[in-house]
Amino acid sequence: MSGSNGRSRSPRLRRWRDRAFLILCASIAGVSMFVLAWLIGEMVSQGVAHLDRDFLTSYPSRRAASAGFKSALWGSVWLVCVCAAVALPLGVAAAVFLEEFAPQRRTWRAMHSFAGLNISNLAGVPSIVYGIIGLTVFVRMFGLFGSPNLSMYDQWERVRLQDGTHAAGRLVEQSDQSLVLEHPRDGVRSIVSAAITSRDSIHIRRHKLELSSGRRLAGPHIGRTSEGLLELDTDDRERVVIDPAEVVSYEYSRVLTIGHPDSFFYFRLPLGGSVLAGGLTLMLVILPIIIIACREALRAVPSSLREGSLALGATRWQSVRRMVLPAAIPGIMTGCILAVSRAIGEAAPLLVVGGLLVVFAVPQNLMDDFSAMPLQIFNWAGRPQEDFHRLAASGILVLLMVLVAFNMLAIVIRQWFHKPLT
Amino acid sequence: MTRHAIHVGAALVPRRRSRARTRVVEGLIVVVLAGCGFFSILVTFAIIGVLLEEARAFFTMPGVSVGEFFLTTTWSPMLGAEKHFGVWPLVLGTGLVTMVSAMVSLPLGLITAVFLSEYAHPALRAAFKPALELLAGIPTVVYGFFALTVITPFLQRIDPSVENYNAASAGLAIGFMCLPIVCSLSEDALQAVPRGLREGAYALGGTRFDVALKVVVPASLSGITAAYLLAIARAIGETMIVALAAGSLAHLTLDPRQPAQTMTGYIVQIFLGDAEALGVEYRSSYAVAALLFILTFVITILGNRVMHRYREVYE
Repeated sequence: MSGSNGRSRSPRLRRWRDRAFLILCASIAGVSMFVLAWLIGEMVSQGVAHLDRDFLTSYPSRRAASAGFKSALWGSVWLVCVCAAVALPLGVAAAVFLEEFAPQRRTWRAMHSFAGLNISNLAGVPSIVYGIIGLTVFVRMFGLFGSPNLSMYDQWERVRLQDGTHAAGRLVEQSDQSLVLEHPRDGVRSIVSAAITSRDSIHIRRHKLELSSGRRLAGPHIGRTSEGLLELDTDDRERVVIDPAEVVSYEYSRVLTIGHPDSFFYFRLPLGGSVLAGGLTLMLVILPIIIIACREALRAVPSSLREGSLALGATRWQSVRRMVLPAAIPGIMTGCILAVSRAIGEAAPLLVVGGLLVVFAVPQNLMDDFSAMPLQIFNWAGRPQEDFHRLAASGILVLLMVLVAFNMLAIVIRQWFHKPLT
Repeated sequence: MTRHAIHVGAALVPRRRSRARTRVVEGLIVVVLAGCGFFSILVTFAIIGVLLEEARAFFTMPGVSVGEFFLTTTWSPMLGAEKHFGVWPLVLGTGLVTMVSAMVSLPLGLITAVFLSEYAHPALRAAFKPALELLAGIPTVVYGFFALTVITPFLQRIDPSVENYNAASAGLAIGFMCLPIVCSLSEDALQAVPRGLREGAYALGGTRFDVALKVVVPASLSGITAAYLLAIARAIGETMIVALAAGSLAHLTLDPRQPAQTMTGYIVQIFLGDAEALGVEYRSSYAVAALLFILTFVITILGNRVMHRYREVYE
């Protein structure tokens, strides 16, 4: 070998060089192990002090001593459930299609192979870009349904009276005997509780006003100044002050909602920075990973299984369902578990979709605000005080334990189902 | 006799659906599967469409132009009355952090791969692999915290002029994060080199050093290149580490001891702060995201193409 460049070295020198390179290789390979040990050691030494039951059962707090991880933990559970419920069937089906159903016709075939190649490119897209897509598509829904920012809406009460008429408006005052509603055109109106047969609260998406001058205005938010004039934030982000006497007609359109914000099935459009939007965004992030893993699992199934099934007269789908999928299940499950564990640790897309909220509750429905373990860790790590850094380290320990548990599960499944497919 | 045979045959096929029904069901299933399969194409076009549309909206806003974006070197979207949108400080910050990370992950990852593939005892390899997987599975926010609270103080002990937020510690953490990616992808490439090449080299009297560095690595160069490209794309797109450790000062510098703002770091800053929704700095994050997407997408496509090529060579 060494003679190839015209010089020859003594065997001793070459053996020495080989030995030196081995030592170099081994020590550099040791670097990664050292970093892993260093990282985990630091996290344990910083975080173990705070790690107790209170940490898992209390909400975040301004005081480091009493702050906990509960909302983050449950937020992550909700997000991962939403994400997995959509991503797993979608990903497995896509992998089955790409691996087992190559179309015959030319144009479809081209699209099929393009979709296959495209997956690995999608896997390389930075997760924060998925966050921005999630923000535009899920949170804001292209602005088709108005602003997602619920504080911009007026929450209104709508009551039905015994004489069959309705009344609606902003709740100004409420007592046992009566409630006072304010309507932009009709003004303030007091209603006796006894006359009310039903009552519900609605979110207003847009207020539309026509003035006596013929001018038409519309916007997402209406309020009243201290002088009793109306204040409208228009669609063009201007604030217009209107004399209520000028208002000729008034209409409102509601936010698309199903159920009451307290009910477990509450749903609204646009999704806003909700658990659903966050979970769907995570779904975009891990979908390519799931598809790649499942395709590999399907590819590992020997083609003799497929061909045998097809030769016995089974259709393509029948042989996929009865022969290929059962054989590939261990690989598919392992890949899916690892992809889901990736979703658990993902912070950047959630940061864009939900913002860095401090949440003092466990989500009750798909429309609730969320925190998540990596978000809470980021929040604590970004503060200057040492105490919060220690909290962040405790949170990291919890997160790492969850991830190690997932990895162990994947390994156990791999071992459990391990049998040669020949 | 014949009747008996028919009877047995019927018992073996307990249910028999009409062929037409099977066909319809099969067709429906294929349509559903195809819908799932083509969903990824939809996602790709959604990404491209949303980013281009929002970037276009940004560039048509008053006081903003494509020329300023690409040709000037001041990025000050928040400060003062006059806002400047010259993207180069962000690109340079990204480049600086990526370079530091590449100096860690590329050589270390390749040498680790060579060690695992050519030298290590199978038992050692079996122990190394899960540890590397664990290193790859650690969330990036953990690396960011590690960079902020461990690497930065460590660097400050070596060189007191290192600032609290700096490009070096973020780059080092990203390097450690990318190391398992480089290692496992290049190990795949090394393993794909046919045994015959190695055995030929040994037969000619080569040592393991000769075989590894003069035969196996050159033979798998395209695979290693692909690994490098994919790792660099990952480093460019990394967000949480730079958001925690690299600071938020967009200025032109190549000094890794200084804070540096990357493209991803700027996007996070916009969505964390209370930049007015649909205002000019909010929209600018879409333009930055579009640039980031194009950069990483091109590098990823290149990497994947190179990888497919080496696979074809040896399969």
